Amino acid sequence: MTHLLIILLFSVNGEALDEVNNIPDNFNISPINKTEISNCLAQSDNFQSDSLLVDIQSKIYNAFVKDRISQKNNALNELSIQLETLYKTKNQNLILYWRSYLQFYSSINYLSKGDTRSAENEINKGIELMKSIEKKNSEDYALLAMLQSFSIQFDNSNAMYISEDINKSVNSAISLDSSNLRAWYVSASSDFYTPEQYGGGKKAEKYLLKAISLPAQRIQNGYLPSWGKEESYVLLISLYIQNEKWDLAKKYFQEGIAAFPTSYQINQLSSRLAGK
Amino acid sequence: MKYCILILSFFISVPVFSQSLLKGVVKDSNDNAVFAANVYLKNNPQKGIVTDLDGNFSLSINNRTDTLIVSFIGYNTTKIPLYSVSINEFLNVVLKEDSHTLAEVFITARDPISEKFSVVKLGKLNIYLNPVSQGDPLKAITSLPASTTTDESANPSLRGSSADRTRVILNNVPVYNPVRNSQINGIGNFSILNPEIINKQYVYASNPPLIYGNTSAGLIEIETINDLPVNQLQLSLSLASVGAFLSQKIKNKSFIQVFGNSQFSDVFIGFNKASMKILNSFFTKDLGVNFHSNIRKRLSFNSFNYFIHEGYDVNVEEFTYSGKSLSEKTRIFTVNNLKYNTENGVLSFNSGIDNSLKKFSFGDIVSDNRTNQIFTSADYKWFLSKNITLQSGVSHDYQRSEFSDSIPVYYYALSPESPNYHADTTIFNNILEAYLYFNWNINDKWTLSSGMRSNIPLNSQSFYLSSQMGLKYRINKNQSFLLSGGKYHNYSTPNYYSKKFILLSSCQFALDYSFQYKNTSLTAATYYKNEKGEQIINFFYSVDNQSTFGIELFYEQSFRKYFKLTFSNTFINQTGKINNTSFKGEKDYNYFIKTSLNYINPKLFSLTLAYLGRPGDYYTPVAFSFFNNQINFYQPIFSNDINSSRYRAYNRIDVSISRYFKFNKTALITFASLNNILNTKNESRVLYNSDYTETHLDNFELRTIYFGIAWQLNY
Repeated sequence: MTHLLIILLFSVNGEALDEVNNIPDNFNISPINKTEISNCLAQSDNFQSDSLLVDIQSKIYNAFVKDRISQKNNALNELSIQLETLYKTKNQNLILYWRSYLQFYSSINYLSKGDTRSAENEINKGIELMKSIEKKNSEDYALLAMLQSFSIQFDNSNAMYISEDINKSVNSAISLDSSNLRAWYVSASSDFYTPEQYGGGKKAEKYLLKAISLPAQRIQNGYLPSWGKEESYVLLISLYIQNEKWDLAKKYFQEGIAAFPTSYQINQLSSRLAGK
Repeated sequence: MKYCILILSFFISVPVFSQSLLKGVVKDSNDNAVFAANVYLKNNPQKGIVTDLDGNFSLSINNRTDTLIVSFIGYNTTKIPLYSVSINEFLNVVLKEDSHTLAEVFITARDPISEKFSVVKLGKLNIYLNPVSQGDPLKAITSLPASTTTDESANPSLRGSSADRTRVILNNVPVYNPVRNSQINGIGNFSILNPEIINKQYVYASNPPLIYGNTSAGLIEIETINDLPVNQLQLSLSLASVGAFLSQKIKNKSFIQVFGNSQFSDVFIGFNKASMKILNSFFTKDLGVNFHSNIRKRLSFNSFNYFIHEGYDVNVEEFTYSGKSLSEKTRIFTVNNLKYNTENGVLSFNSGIDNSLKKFSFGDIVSDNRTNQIFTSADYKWFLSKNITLQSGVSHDYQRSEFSDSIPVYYYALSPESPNYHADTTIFNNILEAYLYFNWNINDKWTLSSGMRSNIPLNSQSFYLSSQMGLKYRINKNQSFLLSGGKYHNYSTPNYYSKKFILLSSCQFALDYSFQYKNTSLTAATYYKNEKGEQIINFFYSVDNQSTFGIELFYEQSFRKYFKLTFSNTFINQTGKINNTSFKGEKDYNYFIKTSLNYINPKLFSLTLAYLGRPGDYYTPVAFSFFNNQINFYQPIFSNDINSSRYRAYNRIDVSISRYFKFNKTALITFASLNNILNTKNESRVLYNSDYTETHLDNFELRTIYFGIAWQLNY
């Protein structure tokens, strides 16, 4: 996680890199693929008055980056208030989804500043929001699993219960839509960061290969999530590097960089592949 | 030329004129707007649009032969040929939830209608990690402050009521006497339930929901699993048992679970010789099969079947006779459920058959007891609206008990030579009941529930009506209050001492408070209940009116990553009445402390230290005796002051440790427990010499050690 945060910060501001050491190494975040979104916007020629939610994934990410630079939480807070206000008038589950997604970034923001208490509060708020959705779809479960995975670091004594919850969420996400790449990515991520003696690290490769074979969205849609594919490449390449499978690492590095040419995270991995 | 241009321009303009704007709205089957749904043309997907927050869309159409496609996550894609649509008409598109989402909804719909009114909800992991459960689902309940089980059995007693007033429900079917190795008085060390089959276990400490009948105290509702996450084979070996458990997926999310155990006593008794002086031997052989099938998208079937053959040989002292007590029991029961999910409800048919034969002998008592139970019920849960759920149903419970006994002529003369007589007794009872229960989520903070249940009298039975009301107030996400009250009825379960079905009733009020924030949990409760109906304790003692007032407090704190501390204390003021004489209830305690310290580190081990302390139980001593020269036995005359004596305070400390090793697909679990580590001689019964002039005391379990190993294969 630390290196990913550094990457993100570096991409917007080469400074302020020294406060990220508190972030655990088990989270992978990246900006949304801009090409996909612009395609999506181009094809949807009739966006109506829902401007706040258009390209909301990028808006949240940009607010996060802005807050990282300013060392405050203003941009995310402002966006959170706007989403909350909108939800009061338009009772749509998708707004809850993005509010939860924002809580995830807000939690990372606090954690990077060493404020563990607020980070825990923020992620728990995100989990509560997701749990409040009555009929969850595959995307809802995938995000819930991601938030639950992130929350485990704050509550070790209940780690076994949270792990059980994560497994349930991941299984529901996959069973509801086996073509949802985020479901496979979260599942792989959970396996990747589970220590080998507890059965982890065995299925991550299979799940990540599945994730990268899937489209970010079946039909491009600026209101809906598209995260996960770039993260899947980063995790897959890292997995091969960790297991010293250099040929495979290079192969997927090439594939990843072709799909995400501007990805700083994938580019960063090139230094670890040099000379192998 | 002008005409040519005119004609040409006419043809050129045709496509321009035929381009129209199709307007519409996308909603789900509950008439809620679907935001962000994709709306596009099959042959021209690039021209797609997305619905707005109100579900509205407008799409340019230039080809009436194309097909409109509307899709969104979790819903079936809808295809509408454009030729069937009038362009000037506002189009209403209704998306239906896809089968996977429906399946998820069905799983949620399985939750009991009264779920919000249960005090505690336990999952499989809660049972395994419980400080005192020893992996037993019902023993896990004994760590709750509401549990007032004092006989070290697994048979749950809640908030000062006798175990016979509390019911255990397995998949909507009552399981009477849910314990193994039960003694003549119904006490059993372990339950007959395996945690691997359990999905959720709800505990209603007071005010049992009237979707179930035949309980006037509390209720334990157990639901078996409806989804098997992984195939698993488990083999276990311990000081007293060897067992196997297989969970196997079958196609279409169906699965089967098969388990069997053989319990033996030699090694266990050998290890605990000093503490097991009266126990000569025991054995259990059991076999269980749990089968779940999703027959169709909306239809599921579950069948749980269990067979057990068990027995024990123990030296018992009763009145002035000491001798061997032998018992052997064979039991088979099956619980079957068929569930059908309708568009806005769940219809279920439930049946249970329970047959047992128990042979018991001690001195001049010889008892053969054959029991049969056939239970059937039909329920319909109707989701009237998003916030109101109604459930109604009927149940029929047939119980038959056949005793073939040799009974002592004098209850205190129990030697084999003492006079006895033979009696065959057959009793049966039919309980036909109907109920109505509703749950209304008024808003985010308030939930109201109410239920009524009455019998349809058969065979000269009295009519009764049970009713209840509950109100839950959720202050915020961390705190809630639950206020409940009602009147309840049940029939006693016959046993050797009481060969009849006696109608019991209770009137209860309870206020429960719950607080949870981060690593801290706090619950508090106060309750009052008045229980009526003759409740026979033994040959010479029965209670017909009992009132109980209680206050409970429970605190749980997790700290330093791997530690968890729990503490609970309960105050119970209980008064019994026989005719117009009042006396202290058996469960009248100024304190009832349960505390545990747990260290749970999956990388190292889990260690639990648990303490239980309470005052001793009340009992009625023998005041004097006189010699009966016909049989050469002294007859005890009990004191007129009922429950005027009390055993010494009960204290017990247990420690248990387990270690989990994971190797790829297999895992090894080692466990050990040391019970009553201080070897405290907790008094359970007062015993007398032959003329009742001297007393000595029988004790609860002394220090025992138990350990074992389990191997798991996940595949």
